[in-house]
Amino acid sequence: MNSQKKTVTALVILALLVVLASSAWGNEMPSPEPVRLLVIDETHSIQSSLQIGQFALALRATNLFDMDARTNIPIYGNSSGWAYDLVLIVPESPSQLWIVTADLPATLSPSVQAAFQVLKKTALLVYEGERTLDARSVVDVTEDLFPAIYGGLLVQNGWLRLVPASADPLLSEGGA
Amino acid sequence: MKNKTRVIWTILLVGVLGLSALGHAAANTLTGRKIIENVDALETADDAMLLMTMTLINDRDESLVREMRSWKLGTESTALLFIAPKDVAGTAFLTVGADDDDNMWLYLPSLELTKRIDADSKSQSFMGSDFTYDDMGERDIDDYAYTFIREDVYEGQHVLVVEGVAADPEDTGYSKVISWIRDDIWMPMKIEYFDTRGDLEKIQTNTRIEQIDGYWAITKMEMENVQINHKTIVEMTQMELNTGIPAEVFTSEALPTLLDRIP
Repeated sequence: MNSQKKTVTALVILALLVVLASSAWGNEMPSPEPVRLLVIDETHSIQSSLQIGQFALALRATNLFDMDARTNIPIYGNSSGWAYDLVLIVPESPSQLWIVTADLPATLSPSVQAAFQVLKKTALLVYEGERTLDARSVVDVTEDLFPAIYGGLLVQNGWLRLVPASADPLLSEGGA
Repeated sequence: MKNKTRVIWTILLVGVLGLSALGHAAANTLTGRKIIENVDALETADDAMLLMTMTLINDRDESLVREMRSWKLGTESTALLFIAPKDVAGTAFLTVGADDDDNMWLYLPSLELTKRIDADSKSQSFMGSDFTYDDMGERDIDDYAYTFIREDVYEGQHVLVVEGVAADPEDTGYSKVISWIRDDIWMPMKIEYFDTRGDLEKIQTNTRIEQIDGYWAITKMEMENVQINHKTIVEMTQMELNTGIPAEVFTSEALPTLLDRIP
Protein backbone atom coordinates (compact mmCIF):
# COMPACT_ATOMS: atom_id res chain seq x y z
CA MET A 1 0.00 0.00 0.00
CA ASN A 2 2.79 2.43 0.88
CA SER A 3 4.53 1.84 -2.44
CA GLN A 4 1.25 2.45 -4.24
CA LYS A 5 0.71 5.74 -2.41
CA LYS A 6 4.22 6.74 -3.40
CA THR A 7 3.41 5.88 -7.01
CA VAL A 8 0.27 7.99 -6.98
CA THR A 9 2.12 10.89 -5.34
CA ALA A 10 4.87 10.69 -7.95
CA LEU A 11 2.31 10.67 -10.74
CA VAL A 12 0.45 13.66 -9.34
CA ILE A 13 3.72 15.59 -9.15
CA LEU A 14 4.52 14.59 -12.71
CA ALA A 15 1.07 15.67 -13.86
CA LEU A 16 1.52 19.03 -12.14
CA LEU A 17 4.85 19.46 -13.93
CA VAL A 18 3.13 18.77 -17.26
CA VAL A 19 0.50 21.41 -16.50
CA LEU A 20 3.13 23.90 -15.38
CA ALA A 21 5.17 23.23 -18.50
CA SER A 22 2.14 23.80 -20.67
CA SER A 23 1.34 27.06 -18.90
CA ALA A 24 4.90 28.25 -19.65
CA TRP A 25 3.90 28.46 -23.30
CA GLY A 26 1.63 31.41 -22.61
CA ASN A 27 -0.87 32.99 -20.24
CA GLU A 28 -3.85 32.09 -22.38
CA MET A 29 -2.86 28.46 -22.90
CA PRO A 30 -5.96 26.30 -23.22
CA SER A 31 -6.02 23.30 -20.91
CA PRO A 32 -4.91 20.24 -22.82
CA GLU A 33 -7.61 17.74 -23.53
CA PRO A 34 -7.24 14.45 -21.71
CA VAL A 35 -5.36 11.93 -23.75
CA ARG A 36 -7.59 9.12 -24.96
CA LEU A 37 -6.43 5.81 -23.57
CA LEU A 38 -7.88 2.36 -24.31
CA VAL A 39 -6.99 -0.38 -21.83
CA ILE A 40 -7.36 -3.90 -23.16
CA ASP A 41 -7.29 -6.48 -20.37
CA GLU A 42 -7.10 -9.99 -21.79
CA THR A 43 -6.15 -11.64 -18.49
CA HIS A 44 -8.40 -14.03 -16.60
CA SER A 45 -6.88 -14.39 -13.16
CA ILE A 46 -8.02 -12.47 -10.11
CA GLN A 47 -4.53 -11.29 -9.20
CA SER A 48 -3.75 -9.86 -12.62
CA SER A 49 -7.17 -8.24 -12.83
CA LEU A 50 -6.89 -6.58 -9.46
CA GLN A 51 -3.46 -5.29 -10.39
CA ILE A 52 -4.83 -3.73 -13.56
CA GLY A 53 -7.54 -2.13 -11.44
CA GLN A 54 -4.97 -0.58 -9.13
CA PHE A 55 -2.91 0.53 -12.14
CA ALA A 56 -5.95 2.23 -13.65
CA LEU A 57 -6.66 3.93 -10.33
CA ALA A 58 -3.14 5.40 -10.35
CA LEU A 59 -3.63 6.59 -13.94
CA ARG A 60 -6.97 8.23 -13.11
CA ALA A 61 -5.31 10.09 -10.25
CA THR A 62 -3.15 11.95 -12.79
CA ASN A 63 -6.23 13.43 -14.53
CA LEU A 64 -4.29 13.06 -17.80
CA PHE A 65 -6.40 10.35 -19.36
CA ASP A 66 -9.87 9.79 -20.74
CA MET A 67 -9.95 6.04 -20.25
CA ASP A 68 -12.01 3.20 -21.68
CA ALA A 69 -11.53 -0.52 -21.20
CA ARG A 70 -12.42 -3.79 -22.88
CA THR A 71 -11.41 -7.42 -22.55
CA ASN A 72 -10.34 -8.22 -26.10
CA ILE A 73 -8.31 -6.63 -28.88
CA PRO A 74 -10.70 -5.27 -31.54
CA ILE A 75 -9.84 -6.78 -34.89
CA TYR A 76 -12.77 -5.27 -36.75
CA GLY A 77 -13.20 -1.70 -37.91
CA ASN A 78 -14.12 1.02 -35.44
CA SER A 79 -17.47 2.41 -36.45
CA SER A 80 -17.92 4.61 -33.38
CA GLY A 81 -15.74 7.42 -34.71
CA TRP A 82 -13.96 7.59 -31.37
CA ALA A 83 -10.28 6.72 -31.77
CA TYR A 84 -7.61 6.63 -29.09
CA ASP A 85 -4.21 8.25 -28.71
CA LEU A 86 -2.72 5.38 -26.72
CA VAL A 87 -3.63 1.75 -26.26
CA LEU A 88 -2.46 -0.41 -23.38
CA ILE A 89 -2.71 -4.17 -23.85
CA VAL A 90 -2.31 -6.65 -21.00
CA PRO A 91 -2.27 -10.02 -22.76
CA GLU A 92 -3.06 -13.35 -21.14
CA SER A 93 0.40 -14.38 -22.31
CA PRO A 94 3.26 -13.64 -22.69
CA SER A 95 4.10 -11.90 -19.40
CA GLN A 96 4.34 -8.53 -21.01
CA LEU A 97 2.44 -5.27 -21.05
CA TRP A 98 2.25 -3.57 -24.45
CA ILE A 99 2.03 0.19 -24.81
CA VAL A 100 0.77 0.71 -28.35
CA THR A 101 1.06 3.99 -30.23
CA ALA A 102 0.17 5.03 -33.77
CA ASP A 103 3.78 5.88 -34.49
CA LEU A 104 7.15 6.07 -32.77
CA PRO A 105 6.76 7.82 -29.39
CA ALA A 106 9.20 10.56 -30.38
CA THR A 107 6.92 11.58 -33.28
CA LEU A 108 3.77 11.88 -31.19
CA SER A 109 2.33 15.25 -30.28
CA PRO A 110 3.78 16.78 -27.07
CA SER A 111 0.69 16.17 -24.99
CA VAL A 112 0.47 12.53 -26.07
CA GLN A 113 4.22 12.13 -25.56
CA ALA A 114 3.91 13.46 -22.02
CA ALA A 115 1.02 11.12 -21.31
CA PHE A 116 2.95 8.25 -22.86
CA GLN A 117 5.86 8.92 -20.47
CA VAL A 118 3.52 8.96 -17.47
CA LEU A 119 1.88 5.74 -18.66
CA LYS A 120 5.22 4.01 -19.20
CA LYS A 121 6.68 5.12 -15.87
CA THR A 122 3.56 4.05 -13.99
CA ALA A 123 3.52 0.69 -15.74
CA LEU A 124 7.16 0.10 -14.86
CA LEU A 125 6.49 0.90 -11.21
CA VAL A 126 3.46 -1.37 -11.02
CA TYR A 127 4.59 -4.30 -13.14
CA GLU A 128 8.35 -4.34 -12.75
CA GLY A 129 8.54 -3.01 -9.20
CA GLU A 130 8.78 -4.89 -5.95
CA ARG A 131 5.76 -6.65 -4.44
CA THR A 132 3.94 -6.77 -7.74
CA LEU A 133 1.08 -9.26 -7.92
CA ASP A 134 1.58 -9.90 -11.62
CA ALA A 135 5.14 -9.28 -12.83
CA ARG A 136 5.43 -8.32 -16.49
CA SER A 137 7.95 -6.60 -18.70
CA VAL A 138 6.68 -3.32 -20.08
CA VAL A 139 7.41 -2.74 -23.77
CA ASP A 140 6.40 -0.21 -26.38
CA VAL A 141 6.56 -0.11 -30.18
CA THR A 142 10.29 0.59 -30.16
CA GLU A 143 11.08 -2.40 -27.98
CA ASP A 144 9.01 -5.32 -29.17
CA LEU A 145 7.25 -6.58 -32.28
CA PHE A 146 3.85 -7.18 -30.67
CA PRO A 147 3.08 -3.53 -29.84
CA ALA A 148 4.33 -2.51 -33.28
CA ILE A 149 2.11 -5.04 -35.06
CA TYR A 150 -0.95 -4.11 -33.03
CA GLY A 151 -0.17 -0.45 -33.56
CA GLY A 152 -0.43 -0.97 -37.32
CA LEU A 153 -3.61 -3.03 -36.99
CA LEU A 154 -5.36 -0.58 -34.68
CA VAL A 155 -4.47 2.42 -36.85
CA GLN A 156 -5.71 0.60 -39.94
CA ASN A 157 -9.01 -0.25 -38.25
CA GLY A 158 -9.55 3.21 -36.87
CA TRP A 159 -8.94 2.48 -33.18
CA LEU A 160 -5.71 4.45 -32.89
CA ARG A 161 -5.34 8.00 -34.10
CA LEU A 162 -2.30 10.11 -34.75
CA VAL A 163 -2.83 13.72 -33.74
CA PRO A 164 -0.61 15.99 -35.83
CA ALA A 165 1.81 17.97 -33.68
CA SER A 166 0.49 21.20 -35.21
CA ALA A 167 -2.93 20.46 -33.79
CA ASP A 168 -1.56 19.93 -30.29
CA PRO A 169 -2.74 22.72 -27.94
CA LEU A 170 0.62 22.54 -26.13
CA LEU A 171 2.18 24.09 -29.22
CA SER A 172 -0.35 26.90 -29.53
CA GLU A 173 1.19 30.37 -29.71
CA GLY A 174 -1.74 32.07 -28.00
CA GLY A 175 -0.58 34.62 -25.35
CA ALA A 176 3.18 33.91 -25.53
CA MET B 1 -28.20 -55.27 53.28
CA LYS B 2 -24.59 -55.32 52.16
CA ASN B 3 -25.45 -57.71 49.32
CA LYS B 4 -28.30 -55.43 48.24
CA THR B 5 -25.97 -52.41 48.20
CA ARG B 6 -23.42 -54.38 46.22
CA VAL B 7 -26.06 -55.35 43.65
CA ILE B 8 -27.23 -51.73 43.32
CA TRP B 9 -23.70 -50.48 42.80
CA THR B 10 -23.03 -53.25 40.28
CA ILE B 11 -26.16 -52.35 38.33
CA LEU B 12 -25.19 -48.68 38.39
CA LEU B 13 -21.65 -49.46 37.30
CA VAL B 14 -22.80 -51.71 34.47
CA GLY B 15 -25.33 -49.08 33.45
CA VAL B 16 -22.74 -46.30 33.33
CA LEU B 17 -20.26 -48.48 31.48
CA GLY B 18 -22.96 -49.60 29.09
CA LEU B 19 -24.09 -46.08 28.33
CA SER B 20 -20.57 -44.87 27.70
CA ALA B 21 -19.96 -47.83 25.44
CA LEU B 22 -23.16 -46.99 23.61
CA GLY B 23 -22.07 -43.39 23.19
CA HIS B 24 -18.66 -44.49 22.01
CA ALA B 25 -20.27 -46.92 19.61
CA ALA B 26 -22.51 -44.12 18.32
CA ALA B 27 -19.51 -41.90 17.63
CA ASN B 28 -17.75 -44.83 16.04
CA THR B 29 -20.61 -45.39 13.61
CA LEU B 30 -19.96 -41.93 12.23
CA THR B 31 -17.37 -41.97 9.50
CA GLY B 32 -15.26 -38.98 8.60
CA ARG B 33 -17.27 -38.59 5.42
CA LYS B 34 -20.57 -38.75 7.29
CA ILE B 35 -19.43 -36.09 9.73
CA ILE B 36 -18.49 -33.74 6.89
CA GLU B 37 -21.77 -34.51 5.15
CA ASN B 38 -23.59 -33.49 8.31
CA VAL B 39 -21.73 -30.18 8.27
CA ASP B 40 -22.46 -29.73 4.58
CA ALA B 41 -26.14 -30.51 5.08
CA LEU B 42 -26.61 -27.86 7.74
CA GLU B 43 -29.69 -25.87 6.99
CA THR B 44 -29.00 -22.45 5.56
CA ALA B 45 -31.24 -19.51 4.87
CA ASP B 46 -32.72 -19.03 1.40
CA ASP B 47 -30.80 -15.77 1.13
CA ALA B 48 -28.56 -13.61 3.27
CA MET B 49 -27.14 -10.10 3.28
CA LEU B 50 -23.98 -9.69 5.32
CA LEU B 51 -21.96 -6.68 6.32
CA MET B 52 -18.39 -7.65 7.17
CA THR B 53 -15.07 -6.23 8.12
CA MET B 54 -11.85 -7.90 7.12
CA THR B 55 -8.74 -6.94 9.11
CA LEU B 56 -5.36 -7.90 7.73
CA ILE B 57 -2.52 -7.99 10.29
CA ASN B 58 1.06 -8.40 9.13
CA ASP B 59 4.15 -9.59 10.98
CA ARG B 60 4.82 -6.05 12.23
CA ASP B 61 1.34 -5.90 13.80
CA GLU B 62 0.27 -3.30 11.23
CA SER B 63 -3.37 -3.68 10.29
CA LEU B 64 -5.49 -2.82 7.28
CA VAL B 65 -9.27 -2.89 7.48
CA ARG B 66 -11.61 -3.53 4.57
CA GLU B 67 -15.35 -3.25 4.73
CA MET B 68 -17.49 -5.52 2.55
CA ARG B 69 -21.09 -6.34 1.86
CA SER B 70 -22.14 -9.76 0.65
CA TRP B 71 -25.36 -11.07 -0.82
CA LYS B 72 -25.94 -14.82 -0.90
CA LEU B 73 -28.60 -16.86 -2.61
CA GLY B 74 -28.69 -20.38 -1.20
CA THR B 75 -25.25 -21.91 -1.33
CA GLU B 76 -24.45 -21.38 -4.98
CA SER B 77 -24.57 -17.67 -5.67
CA THR B 78 -22.60 -14.95 -3.93
CA ALA B 79 -22.12 -11.31 -4.80
CA LEU B 80 -19.43 -9.51 -2.81
CA LEU B 81 -18.81 -5.78 -2.83
CA PHE B 82 -15.95 -3.86 -1.27
CA ILE B 83 -17.14 -0.64 0.36
CA ALA B 84 -13.97 0.68 1.99
CA PRO B 85 -11.20 1.79 1.87
CA LYS B 86 -11.34 4.07 -1.13
CA ASP B 87 -8.80 2.24 -3.26
CA VAL B 88 -10.96 -0.90 -3.39
CA ALA B 89 -14.44 0.65 -3.04
CA GLY B 90 -16.75 -0.56 -5.76
CA THR B 91 -14.71 -3.67 -6.60
CA ALA B 92 -17.19 -6.50 -6.82
CA PHE B 93 -17.15 -10.27 -7.30
CA LEU B 94 -19.86 -12.63 -8.39
CA THR B 95 -19.79 -16.40 -8.10
CA VAL B 96 -22.60 -18.44 -9.57
CA GLY B 97 -22.79 -22.21 -9.70
CA ALA B 98 -21.44 -25.13 -7.77
CA ASP B 99 -17.91 -26.35 -7.51
CA ASP B 100 -16.09 -26.96 -10.79
CA ASP B 101 -18.86 -25.36 -12.76
CA ASP B 102 -18.47 -22.09 -10.91
CA ASN B 103 -18.78 -18.98 -13.00
CA MET B 104 -16.93 -16.04 -11.57
CA TRP B 105 -16.92 -12.38 -12.56
CA LEU B 106 -15.05 -9.37 -11.31
CA TYR B 107 -15.98 -5.70 -11.65
CA LEU B 108 -13.17 -3.12 -11.62
CA PRO B 109 -14.58 0.35 -10.92
CA SER B 110 -11.42 2.19 -12.03
CA LEU B 111 -11.91 0.73 -15.53
CA GLU B 112 -15.70 0.38 -15.38
CA LEU B 113 -15.03 -3.13 -16.64
CA THR B 114 -16.76 -6.40 -15.83
CA LYS B 115 -14.79 -9.49 -16.74
CA ARG B 116 -14.97 -13.24 -16.40
CA ILE B 117 -12.43 -14.87 -14.12
CA ASP B 118 -10.91 -18.34 -14.33
CA ALA B 119 -12.36 -20.76 -11.80
CA ASP B 120 -8.85 -21.92 -10.90
CA SER B 121 -8.20 -18.45 -9.50
CA LYS B 122 -10.18 -19.51 -6.47
CA SER B 123 -7.09 -20.95 -4.81
CA GLN B 124 -5.48 -17.50 -4.87
CA SER B 125 -5.40 -15.16 -1.92
CA PHE B 126 -8.65 -13.25 -1.39
CA MET B 127 -7.75 -9.57 -1.73
CA GLY B 128 -4.38 -10.00 -0.04
CA SER B 129 -5.85 -11.80 2.97
CA ASP B 130 -4.95 -15.19 4.42
CA PHE B 131 -8.19 -16.65 3.05
CA THR B 132 -8.36 -17.95 -0.50
CA TYR B 133 -11.50 -17.45 -2.56
CA ASP B 134 -12.19 -21.15 -1.96
CA ASP B 135 -11.81 -20.65 1.79
CA MET B 136 -14.41 -17.87 1.66
CA GLY B 137 -16.91 -19.92 -0.29
CA GLU B 138 -18.47 -23.36 -0.27
CA ARG B 139 -15.92 -26.14 -0.48
CA ASP B 140 -16.64 -29.26 -2.56
CA ILE B 141 -16.61 -32.13 -0.07
CA ASP B 142 -15.69 -34.55 -2.85
CA ASP B 143 -12.28 -32.89 -3.12
CA TYR B 144 -11.12 -34.77 -0.01
CA ALA B 145 -11.13 -38.29 1.44
CA TYR B 146 -12.14 -38.14 5.12
CA THR B 147 -11.08 -40.07 8.21
CA PHE B 148 -12.60 -39.71 11.66
CA ILE B 149 -9.58 -39.26 13.95
CA ARG B 150 -10.99 -38.94 17.45
CA GLU B 151 -13.38 -37.22 19.81
CA ASP B 152 -11.96 -34.27 21.69
CA VAL B 153 -12.81 -31.22 23.71
CA TYR B 154 -12.01 -27.81 22.25
CA GLU B 155 -12.79 -24.54 24.00
CA GLY B 156 -15.08 -26.48 26.33
CA GLN B 157 -17.07 -28.02 23.49
CA HIS B 158 -17.24 -31.68 22.53
CA VAL B 159 -15.85 -32.01 19.02
CA LEU B 160 -15.16 -34.65 16.41
CA VAL B 161 -11.77 -34.36 14.75
CA VAL B 162 -11.77 -35.25 11.05
CA GLU B 163 -8.87 -35.38 8.64
CA GLY B 164 -9.46 -34.73 4.96
CA VAL B 165 -6.76 -35.70 2.46
CA ALA B 166 -6.97 -33.89 -0.85
CA ALA B 167 -7.44 -35.96 -3.98
CA ASP B 168 -5.65 -33.26 -6.01
CA PRO B 169 -3.55 -30.93 -3.82
CA GLU B 170 -2.65 -28.74 -6.79
CA ASP B 171 -6.33 -28.10 -7.40
CA THR B 172 -7.35 -27.47 -3.79
CA GLY B 173 -4.14 -25.71 -2.77
CA TYR B 174 -3.92 -27.97 0.28
CA SER B 175 -2.66 -31.50 0.79
CA LYS B 176 -4.72 -32.01 3.93
CA VAL B 177 -7.19 -30.27 6.23
CA ILE B 178 -8.02 -31.26 9.81
CA SER B 179 -11.31 -30.04 11.26
CA TRP B 180 -12.57 -29.83 14.83
CA ILE B 181 -16.36 -30.06 14.51
CA ARG B 182 -18.99 -29.50 17.19
CA ASP B 183 -21.27 -32.47 16.90
CA ASP B 184 -24.17 -30.77 18.67
CA ILE B 185 -24.61 -28.19 15.91
CA TRP B 186 -22.32 -29.56 13.14
CA MET B 187 -20.20 -26.45 12.88
CA PRO B 188 -16.40 -26.43 12.62
CA MET B 189 -14.62 -24.63 15.44
CA LYS B 190 -11.10 -24.96 14.09
CA ILE B 191 -9.54 -26.04 10.82
CA GLU B 192 -5.87 -26.66 10.10
CA TYR B 193 -4.70 -26.39 6.51
CA PHE B 194 -1.59 -28.12 5.25
CA ASP B 195 0.22 -26.94 2.12
CA THR B 196 1.02 -29.11 -0.87
CA ARG B 197 4.29 -30.16 0.78
CA GLY B 198 2.39 -31.40 3.83
CA ASP B 199 3.52 -28.60 6.16
CA LEU B 200 1.06 -26.77 8.38
CA GLU B 201 0.29 -23.52 6.60
CA LYS B 202 -2.82 -21.96 8.15
CA ILE B 203 -5.10 -22.28 11.15
CA GLN B 204 -8.68 -21.09 10.93
CA THR B 205 -10.42 -20.45 14.23
CA ASN B 206 -14.14 -19.72 14.21
CA THR B 207 -14.17 -17.60 17.33
CA ARG B 208 -17.85 -16.71 17.31
CA ILE B 209 -20.60 -19.08 16.29
CA GLU B 210 -24.13 -17.97 16.99
CA GLN B 211 -27.69 -18.67 16.05
CA ILE B 212 -29.45 -15.99 14.05
CA ASP B 213 -33.11 -16.33 13.18
CA GLY B 214 -32.79 -20.04 13.90
CA TYR B 215 -29.75 -20.61 11.69
CA TRP B 216 -26.26 -21.32 13.00
CA ALA B 217 -23.65 -19.01 11.55
CA ILE B 218 -19.96 -18.25 11.99
CA THR B 219 -19.92 -14.52 12.71
CA LYS B 220 -16.25 -14.13 13.49
CA MET B 221 -13.32 -16.11 12.19
CA GLU B 222 -9.58 -15.77 12.18
CA MET B 223 -7.16 -17.24 9.70
CA GLU B 224 -3.55 -17.29 10.73
CA ASN B 225 -0.81 -18.12 8.25
CA VAL B 226 1.81 -19.64 10.55
CA GLN B 227 4.42 -19.75 7.79
CA ILE B 228 4.52 -15.99 7.20
CA ASN B 229 3.17 -14.77 10.57
CA HIS B 230 0.17 -13.02 9.04
CA LYS B 231 -3.41 -13.03 10.25
CA THR B 232 -6.81 -12.08 8.87
CA ILE B 233 -9.92 -11.53 10.97
CA VAL B 234 -13.33 -11.53 9.31
CA GLU B 235 -16.25 -10.37 11.39
CA MET B 236 -19.92 -10.11 10.46
CA THR B 237 -21.31 -6.87 11.81
CA GLN B 238 -24.77 -7.25 10.32
CA MET B 239 -26.70 -10.22 9.00
CA GLU B 240 -30.16 -10.23 7.47
CA LEU B 241 -31.68 -13.52 6.42
CA ASN B 242 -34.53 -14.47 4.11
CA THR B 243 -35.33 -10.93 3.00
CA GLY B 244 -36.12 -11.93 -0.60
CA ILE B 245 -33.00 -10.67 -2.39
CA PRO B 246 -33.91 -10.41 -6.09
CA ALA B 247 -32.21 -12.87 -8.42
CA GLU B 248 -31.03 -10.00 -10.65
CA VAL B 249 -28.46 -9.09 -7.97
CA PHE B 250 -26.61 -12.28 -8.90
CA THR B 251 -25.91 -11.34 -12.50
CA SER B 252 -22.73 -9.92 -14.01
CA GLU B 253 -24.77 -6.94 -15.26
CA ALA B 254 -25.61 -5.99 -11.68
CA LEU B 255 -22.01 -5.78 -10.46
CA PRO B 256 -21.45 -2.11 -11.43
CA THR B 257 -24.63 -1.15 -9.59
CA LEU B 258 -24.06 -2.93 -6.29
CA LEU B 259 -22.66 0.21 -4.64
CA ASP B 260 -25.98 1.91 -5.37
CA ARG B 261 -27.77 -0.80 -3.38
CA ILE B 262 -26.12 0.31 -0.15
CA PRO B 263 -28.72 2.22 1.88
